[in-house]
Amino acid sequence: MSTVAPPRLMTTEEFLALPDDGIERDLIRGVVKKYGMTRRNRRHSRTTTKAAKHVDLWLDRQSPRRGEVLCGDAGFQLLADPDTTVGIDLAYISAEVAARFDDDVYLIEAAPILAAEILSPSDTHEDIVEKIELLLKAGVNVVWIIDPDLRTVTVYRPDKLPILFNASQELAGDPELPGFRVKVAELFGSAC
Amino acid sequence: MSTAEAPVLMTSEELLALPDDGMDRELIRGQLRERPMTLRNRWHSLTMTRTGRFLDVWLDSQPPPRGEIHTGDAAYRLSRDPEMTVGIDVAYVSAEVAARSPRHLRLIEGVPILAGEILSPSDTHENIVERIQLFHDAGVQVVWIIDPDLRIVGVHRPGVEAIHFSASQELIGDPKLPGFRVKVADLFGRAAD
Repeated sequence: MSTVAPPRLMTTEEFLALPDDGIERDLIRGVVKKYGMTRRNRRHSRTTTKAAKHVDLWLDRQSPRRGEVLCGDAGFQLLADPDTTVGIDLAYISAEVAARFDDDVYLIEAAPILAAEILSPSDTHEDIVEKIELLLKAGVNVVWIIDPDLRTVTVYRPDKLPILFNASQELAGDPELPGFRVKVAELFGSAC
Repeated sequence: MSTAEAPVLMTSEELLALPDDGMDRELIRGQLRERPMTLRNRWHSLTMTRTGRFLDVWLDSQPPPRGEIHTGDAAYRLSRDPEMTVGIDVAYVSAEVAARSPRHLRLIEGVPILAGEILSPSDTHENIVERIQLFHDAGVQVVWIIDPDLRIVGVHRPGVEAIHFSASQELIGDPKLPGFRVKVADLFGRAAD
């Protein structure tokens, strides 16, 4: 009787060596997850700008300026053995994490304080759920799921119930982003 | 230079006349959308049972004439022009709409007061957004997006910003479902005995 060997898990190094072919991928517990040709639409791109702008402006107002805001699918290695490496649309890392890594790394081997994902049309429900669970399990303090179509931000924290903020409300960042406030409507630009 | 083909438009009668061959079909603005029907997952089915049960018990408590609660992808012809015939996971129709629908037809002619969709793992964000818009455009007054994984019910009403109810909260049906209350956690299963 033949036995089937379990598929070998991929390492982060192997993952980073995969071709840069426009297909979005994450490495989840050593297995490559393909998202297909992800095209960011205009609304997604605009929302990313506004979210990053507001968080970065908040960071400017902190004294001292502590940490860093990264956007554009910033690479994070969240777990090792098996490796989990993901891109995050918008992340806020602490000063301590920022100091630990050089400017030319492709991956930050630490969890950000805030991970925000802006929903794309092609995102599947199971991918979204998995990402939220992964981020929280990896030590991210707060996850924002930003929906540019329904104009909402849903906030997830470990062991807490999700909270939704809609376009008539103000998103508060406390306690992880002390004093952070933004009118949710301002994340989505002009209402059409 | 090739010219784009005009999309083939179908009527609901033609849709219903197609063979019962395991394909899940709908008409969206007269165009057929098909996908293979898969076995429903456990959580989707459990949530559908629980949601239907609470709605049906609530409806029993309403004064007559009562409408109907449907679960399991009942076919609704939401509009004729454009032709929109879709399956809805959980729906509440008024007595008037139920009475108006010819009994010999397998579909309900009209717009439910409430349309509830239970999220499946493969549902895409754009499908969900499109669904909500489609329901609102047709005149559905309340749309529930029920998420058995994150244990949330999103409530979407036309012209009103979205809200949600999470597991420890009570989903309130007022004003369109007067007096309807359910603890959201109860939609996803029975509390541990």
